Amino acid sequence: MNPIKAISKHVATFRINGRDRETIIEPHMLLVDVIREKLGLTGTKRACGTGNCGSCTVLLDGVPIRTCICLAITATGSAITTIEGLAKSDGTLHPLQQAFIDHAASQCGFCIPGMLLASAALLADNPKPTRAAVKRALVGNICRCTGYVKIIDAVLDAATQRTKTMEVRT
Amino acid sequence: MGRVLQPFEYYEPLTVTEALSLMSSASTKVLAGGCDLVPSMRCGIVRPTRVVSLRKVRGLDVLKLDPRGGFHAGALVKIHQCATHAREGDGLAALWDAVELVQPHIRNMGTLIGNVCSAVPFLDIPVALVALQAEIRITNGNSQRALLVEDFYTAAGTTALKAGELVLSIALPPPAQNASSAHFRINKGRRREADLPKVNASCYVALDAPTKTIVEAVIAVGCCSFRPLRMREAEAVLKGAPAERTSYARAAAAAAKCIAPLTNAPWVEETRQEFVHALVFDALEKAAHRASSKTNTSRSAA
Amino acid sequence: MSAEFSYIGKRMPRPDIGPKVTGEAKYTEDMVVPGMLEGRILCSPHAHAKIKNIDTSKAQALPGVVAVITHRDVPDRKFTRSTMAEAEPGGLYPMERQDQYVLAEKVRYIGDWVAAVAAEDIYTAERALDLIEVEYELLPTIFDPFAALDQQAPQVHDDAPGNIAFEGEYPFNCGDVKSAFEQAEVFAEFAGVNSRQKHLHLETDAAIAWWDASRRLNIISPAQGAHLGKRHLAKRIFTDLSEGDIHWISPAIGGGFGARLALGVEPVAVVLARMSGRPVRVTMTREEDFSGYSSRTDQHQTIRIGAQKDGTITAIEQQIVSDSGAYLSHSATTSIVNCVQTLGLFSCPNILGQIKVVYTNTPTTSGFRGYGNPEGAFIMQQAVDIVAEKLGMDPVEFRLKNIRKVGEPSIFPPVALAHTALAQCIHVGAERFGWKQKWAGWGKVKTGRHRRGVGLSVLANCTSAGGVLLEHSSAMIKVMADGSANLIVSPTEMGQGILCGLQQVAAETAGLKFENIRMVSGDTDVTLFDIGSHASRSMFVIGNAVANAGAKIKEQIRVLAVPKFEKWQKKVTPAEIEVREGRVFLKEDPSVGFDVSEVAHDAIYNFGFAGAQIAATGSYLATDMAQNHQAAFAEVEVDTETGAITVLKYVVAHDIGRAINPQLVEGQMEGGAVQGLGFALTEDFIVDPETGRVLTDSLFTYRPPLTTDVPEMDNLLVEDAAPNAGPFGAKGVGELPVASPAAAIANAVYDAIGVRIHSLPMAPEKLLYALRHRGEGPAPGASRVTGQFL
Repeated sequence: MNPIKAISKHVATFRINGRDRETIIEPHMLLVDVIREKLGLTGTKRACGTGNCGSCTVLLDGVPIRTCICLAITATGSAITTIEGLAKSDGTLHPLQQAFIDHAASQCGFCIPGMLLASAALLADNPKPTRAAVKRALVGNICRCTGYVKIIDAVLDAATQRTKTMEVRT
Repeated sequence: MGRVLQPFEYYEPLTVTEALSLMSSASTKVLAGGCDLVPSMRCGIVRPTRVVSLRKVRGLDVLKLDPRGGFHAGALVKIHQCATHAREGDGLAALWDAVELVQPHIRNMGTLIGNVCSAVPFLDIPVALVALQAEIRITNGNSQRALLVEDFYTAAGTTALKAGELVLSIALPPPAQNASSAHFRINKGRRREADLPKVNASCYVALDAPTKTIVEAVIAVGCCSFRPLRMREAEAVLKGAPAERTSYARAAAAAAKCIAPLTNAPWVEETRQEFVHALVFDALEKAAHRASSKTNTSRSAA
Repeated sequence: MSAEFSYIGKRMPRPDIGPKVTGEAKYTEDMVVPGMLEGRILCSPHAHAKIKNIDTSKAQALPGVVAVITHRDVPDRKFTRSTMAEAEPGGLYPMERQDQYVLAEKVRYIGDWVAAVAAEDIYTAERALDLIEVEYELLPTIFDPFAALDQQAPQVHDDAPGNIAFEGEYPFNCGDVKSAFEQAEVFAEFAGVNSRQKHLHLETDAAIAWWDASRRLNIISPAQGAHLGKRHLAKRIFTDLSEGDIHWISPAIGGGFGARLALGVEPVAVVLARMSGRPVRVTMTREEDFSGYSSRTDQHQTIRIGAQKDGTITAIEQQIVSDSGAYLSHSATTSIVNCVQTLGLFSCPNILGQIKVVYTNTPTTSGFRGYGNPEGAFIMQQAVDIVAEKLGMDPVEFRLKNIRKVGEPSIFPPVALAHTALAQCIHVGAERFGWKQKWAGWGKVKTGRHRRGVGLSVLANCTSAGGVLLEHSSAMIKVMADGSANLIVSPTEMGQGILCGLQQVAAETAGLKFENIRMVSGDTDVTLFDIGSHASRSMFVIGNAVANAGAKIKEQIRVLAVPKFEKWQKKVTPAEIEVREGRVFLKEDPSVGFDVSEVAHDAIYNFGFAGAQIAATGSYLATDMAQNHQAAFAEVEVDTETGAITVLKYVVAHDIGRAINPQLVEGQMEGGAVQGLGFALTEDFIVDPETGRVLTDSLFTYRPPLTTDVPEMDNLLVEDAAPNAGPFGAKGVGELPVASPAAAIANAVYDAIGVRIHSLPMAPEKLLYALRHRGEGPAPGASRVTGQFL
């Protein structure tokens, strides 16, 4: 058996927001730092560093995870969606983003990228969630400003709007 | 205590044998979901010189469901995968309850085995696993051994895992037909260094449906020691007892009496005992209620 | 255009929200200055120690390290983190002490700053911190504020005998409280303390500092009052600079709540930038934030109230002992403001407030949203209920009888109360809540495991500190040739939505289109002097300055527009012209008119026209505190086995004067209520009484409310345009929402279980202990304040 080689500094490819991006990483680097500092996508926020607050949420193969407790190397080979990848490439906002604007669901804005991505994952999974389901899906995302009311309203509104559009289409 | 992690040697073996060959040194840590290891490294609680990631090891992501209700999960099986198999109302409902208390992102990232192996004394899932008499399978490359989760913790932050050993999988035995379980938790203040910020309890109750008596009960209490405690004296109180509130109250009182103090603050300890009493009572009542409704549903379904 | 207003009272979209939902908004940590180094700070592991020796040679030798600093490298001048002195007319502020250095030679709490490093990358910077060797001489410690007052207690500061950081009286003490209590027919006393609630702004503290080619110091940081900050830095720390040498930029701010009114890591970034000759970004971790320098001050209070049998309050006394932690910062000021809000609520001829602020070897506390009011309300509102119970009066009626009315002294007694809608708030809130149906009366004993109860709280809060601080502000508007405009103004947008509100005021008063006004803010080189966003002041003071500038713009447009009406063969005077929503037209015939850009274009490009761009500066000086009010009602269910409190319903009515943007007012009320719910029930900041270590140093142990904790809420806006207030009669809303919940919930808990809780948060273990030991007096581990434990 060949001895297994340690993985050290290397050029890694990240599939991020639909594009392959190459950057030099080391195994001890956190995904939040690689996304922010190496790939320049500063919409992903670091707030607690322990995986409790959800500000650093991205979608990994469509599933919300926390980049502040994730080694970047373990995300290679997966599709990453950050907040910068939520709107369409032509700039059209995701229905959730528009609903957050309409409801003034953001105050300081620091939690919002994580809130939006966690909400997007919820709606992908459950297009017509109840209020309780929205609360449950966002229980890991802390907002210190809004008291959550307008955030929850916005998610429910986006779900309704989207359902309406879908009904019109079919 | 930093914002970032300091360098370490990092490996991604492809087989269990390869992984084991890298694990000889004591300052080696195994990475699965990373939910505990990564922040612990950042805070300097652990400073491994070598990290062995299991993410590419073949065969560890297998979840085998037992048609009678139990399951067998490999070391890479995520918490949310197991949760879907432990629906509310089912025999493994205590696990469902405990998973519901874990934040959604952590369910997606963390593994069931990682939650057990981290040996963090205030988690919910290990308490439920003790009540459900889950068993972990350990290998050293030559032989395998099995250990109940309740016997896995040897001291604060320490497990029975020896150098050169790896946890392969966890097995949840299928619950008895007229059995179910429940888990509850209370968040409290961490009042002293040795104190813990929660108290939690899981109970498993198997009923004799016709007589509505308790055939078997398992009571596990968390956050009262470095590990989940199995409350055997309280369980004995329930054997053959009627499934009713007076029985639960007697067992809850017995459990509360068995709690040893964590701190030198009497009021903190007095309220911890009160919490244990309330939690065990509630968990027994809910588990028994679920067990009896399960009996009814299965009958009507049949 | 029949509606009274074009934009006031409308739910206009926030100008800052687009970039916040796309991730493009830039916060301090998102900024990169070319050549920037990463700075990190070494914190003390000891609660009280003298640094005997500090060896940085190994850290210096590490490749990539550019600068290492210790107490030997920082200015030999003491300063205070609070920047409020620079908001005082004379710059003299008796409520603060210059008591700390940028880096300490003597550390006074676990987390105090010892040294700092700037390196090419953060990995190297943190490795270097590990290589700094510090030899400490441990000193005796003191963690309890009451023990700290003992003669034999260890001294936290050599120049503060008895550990007294501040001792003083409420400035508006009046009458003779002692004899009033003797004559009172009913007497009540209640004592207790709040927790050190953490601001928990999601963006942890950060700053970037660098000297540019013109030798000016540039700072980027989330400051809540950058104009105060730059003066403070120059006056107190870097005395070789004058305030004009400093250029301070506040980008998007990830929450403030009062924390950013004190200096954070800026001074360290400045010293590192100076030593390294490079830009330096200093950042913190959440753990460092938890054991750091900002939280609510724990104020131990005893409140006594005397009343007549008819329900008239005759005397109120408030004794406060506050624990400032290791350094004073805002703790004395918040304690005095507690008296201002608490003792200024009711009509009462005999008032006594006394304050002691004590140093301990615990983290520094500071100012937090509400600034003393939530702390006071929790004690005062329970004391008020005790009197009402003794009188057998409905607590709603008792409060209605005693609240101050127009013409009586305001909470700032030299000025009479010009407006209050508090009575209306109480009526509207009680009606919506169903108080008459839900309140069973005093002394109704409830049984069973789960018991329900209702309670209320009635409060007043200042809008600004008019009459005390430099409550003036100035705003500039300039109109471009296309009719769009810049509003240059200096509030701090930390999420509350003030930029949107000011944009609405500018559009309404100037007659411009809302979407054509672009906000310019957060840069001290561009904006005019202002003391920052705090004390619920921005819409009042800055809003009036904007309204003043807007009115001037509209007048300029009218004057310039006169000749333009000649093409309709109209000879008009400016007074006959209206400007609204970007259109200039005749009042008597709105169909005759044109776009404002026609005038704006000529002002710049038609030399014969006016020869001056349309531009104006507006100012305002507040001399009134334009107090705002809330009446809050809570219904709770207590689980007497687990001690858990569930809030079933929360109704609150706010005396807002006028809601410039109701959606944003709701946002303040909802967010404040939930933050107040955390203060009431779950946010427990615990310092180990034996080691002084913060035991709640992460979100595993410190628990802010989550989505699932939000109760059914009704946030009601009571609008009644107030005189002597902000534009269109607006009053403040930022702070009071956080003050009401704990007070209302505490009274509801008493209604449910007949036990009063003396210490916040009302954690399950406290509730259980209180239930099991009712009537036994102080609990083991109690501080000297009656009947509570910590």
